[in-house]
Amino acid sequence: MTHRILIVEDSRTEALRARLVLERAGFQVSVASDGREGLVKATQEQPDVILLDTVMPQMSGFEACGKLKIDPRTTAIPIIMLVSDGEADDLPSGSGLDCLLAKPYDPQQLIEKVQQTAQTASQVPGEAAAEIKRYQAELLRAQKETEAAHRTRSDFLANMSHELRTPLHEIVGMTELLQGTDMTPEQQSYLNTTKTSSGALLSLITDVIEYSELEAGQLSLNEREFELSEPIDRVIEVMKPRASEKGLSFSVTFSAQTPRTLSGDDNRLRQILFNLVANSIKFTEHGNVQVHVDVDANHDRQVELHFRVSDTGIGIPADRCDIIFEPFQQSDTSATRRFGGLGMGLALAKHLVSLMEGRIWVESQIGQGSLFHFTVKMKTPVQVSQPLQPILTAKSNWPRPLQILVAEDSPTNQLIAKSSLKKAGHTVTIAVNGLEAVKAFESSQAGPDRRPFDLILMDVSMPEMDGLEATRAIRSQEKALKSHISIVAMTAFATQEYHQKCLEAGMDAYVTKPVRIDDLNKTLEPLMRREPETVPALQPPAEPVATVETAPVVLTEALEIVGGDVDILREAVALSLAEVPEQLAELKAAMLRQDAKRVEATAHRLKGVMGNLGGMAAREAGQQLETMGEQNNLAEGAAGVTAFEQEAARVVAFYSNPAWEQLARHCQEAMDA
Amino acid sequence: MPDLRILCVDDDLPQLSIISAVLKKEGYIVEVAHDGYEGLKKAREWKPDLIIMDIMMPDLDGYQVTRRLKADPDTARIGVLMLTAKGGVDENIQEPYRLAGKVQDRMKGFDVGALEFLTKPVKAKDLVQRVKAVLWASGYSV
Repeated sequence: MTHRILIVEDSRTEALRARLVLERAGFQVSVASDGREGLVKATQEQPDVILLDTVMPQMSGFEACGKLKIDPRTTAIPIIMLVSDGEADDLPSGSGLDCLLAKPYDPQQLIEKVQQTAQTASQVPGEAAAEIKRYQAELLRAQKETEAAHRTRSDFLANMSHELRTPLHEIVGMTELLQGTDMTPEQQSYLNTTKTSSGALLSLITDVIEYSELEAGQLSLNEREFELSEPIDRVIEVMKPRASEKGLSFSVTFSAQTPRTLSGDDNRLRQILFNLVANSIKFTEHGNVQVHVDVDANHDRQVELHFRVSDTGIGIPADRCDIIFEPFQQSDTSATRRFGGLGMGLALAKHLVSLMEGRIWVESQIGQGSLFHFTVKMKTPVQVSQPLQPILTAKSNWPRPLQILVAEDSPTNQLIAKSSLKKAGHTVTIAVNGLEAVKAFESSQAGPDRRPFDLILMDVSMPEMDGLEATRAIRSQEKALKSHISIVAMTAFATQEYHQKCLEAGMDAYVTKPVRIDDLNKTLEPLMRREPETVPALQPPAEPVATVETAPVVLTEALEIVGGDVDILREAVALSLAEVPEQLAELKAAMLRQDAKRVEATAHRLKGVMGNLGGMAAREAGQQLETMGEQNNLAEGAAGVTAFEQEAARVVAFYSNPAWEQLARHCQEAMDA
Repeated sequence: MPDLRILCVDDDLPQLSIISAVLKKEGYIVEVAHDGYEGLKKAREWKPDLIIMDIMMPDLDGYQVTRRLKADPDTARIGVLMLTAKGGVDENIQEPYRLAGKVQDRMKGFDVGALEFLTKPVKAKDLVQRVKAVLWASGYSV
């Protein structure tokens, strides 16, 4: 019988020489040019003897030998190691070698060695040889089956997920469309449940897809520069309502060292945090869920962020603390029934954390709650990274209570608008048609105890006078008043043309009916901080506002400074607004001259002005400039001035709208309460 | 409470207006000065019961004014409440005052004779409280 020989040798001439010699001697030869290829060919071809060179790139002969001997499919194949002169003496014993052949060898030597080795191997007593063969065959089959099963499962998961996702997308989309139509509150509430449930199902399926992608190694990280507040705001936006629904408080805090700007995959970071927070909220019935962001290490543009997500939930038994990060696991199987879910979120988080070179772990006490930790490595961009201010406090004066006039003829829609707006803390006045709306607007502008509205929500088709006409009437009156009230159309029709009509009539934006507080807030966000004089023809809010900026002014701060006296604040505002342009000009001039002392002094002054008005972001920007001046380092000065100017402009714009006084009073009332 | 008189020295107009308005509302008689020299002059002429002093002012800063007031037997007994700001390290300041931020301001302020400090932005409640404390420490019944 012809013996089959595999030569694993990186040198082509060596390989060719050995091959010629052996083929002439009647052997059947195949060649692999490195260790890796050798392993594959050995497994596939099951040669009778392997000739293995020692020195090869990537995988040495010794390493390949070890692998061949460990793998049950190749363990029985005898190996002849080709060693150079002198190498033979210091070979490790027990490396599984069957035979050595020193290079250079002469052809006869090679033939003899191979013959001898092949024969010895085949001389294994019949029964034992058969046993080995059978064992090998069995192992081989088992391995193939496992691989096939695994592949099938991945394919199945991937296909299934997409099959499930498509119709679900349609369900979610249709539900949203349906929500935009006229319905009774009861129907609306049924539909809300439908939407919540389909949304939950969709996110589960997304988890499954992501996880199968992860397993297949298809998931990679993107890198881009981002503000840390962006992903965190997104998490807050989604999780805060979920927490409040269960009566839990939810907050995010930062340590002072946390950099504001980072470079890395913000989407994945958000996903990790999202999964952990969702998990905590899910398993907590009372108390709170808190996120704290800290910095473990920060040097050389590399920062290690440390997130802590704590809850006061049911807790996790000590022996389950590791296992919960495995896929399809929850702290105990009954939890699946009680709390639902696939137990996929944490496994996903763990994978993502490890992609970001971080760790994830949990401390927990049954019945007391859990504290999840995770770290991720991110880069810090080259520019000076500013410490992050706690965003929640800065954001807290938006959404804020407003005086809203709702013009709507349908009693049902009146009811919905009224109840949802009131629930959000706004004060609502109803006008049943356009004429009434104009009258209400007029009387709100006149008289000794006038209370101007902050906003009009205007239905478009109404009897007597429709919304478009009413808007035109109000706008023409405003020309004399030199004011601009925000008018937002409530429409059931989603055509571009229709929206254009609304905007042409002088409306600022539109929301689809029935009015949802989230949508309304997003729509109002830009309106409520715009300068009244510079109202452009409004852009329809095509994209939902993803990230919420910090408010220009934290009124509560300003009010504390003046002891809640709006008159004092008004005086200070007038003086400040008069002073800012001059100071700003001086700051710029000083920056041009590179006069650090002067930059410090003017920035100090401006910082103080902004601080007294509650302009926290502007104050912070002023502080940065002051520090630059103080340290006589104006390298980033121009950017600093631009940043300050932008923030200051927002503060000025805020106080240029006379409506701030009313907001301040609302705010003070809330504080007093 | 007798009619206690307070002099506010600050080059920052809005700041001055806030502080004087808050104090007037509390029933104090308030006079203002817009820079160090004016502050020094008014302190000598008017002899207030308390002076609220900003630190960072052009020409004559709050430390210098306070030092001069304390050197003059006529004004040495007037309590000074200083307004400090948060800030970085000042290279011009010698040890042991080269500490970061307001601590540094405070150390230097104590040294020149200030009794109390407030960090800007100053909240009305804090202002009134500290003013009372300084007046009390200066021997007035508040």
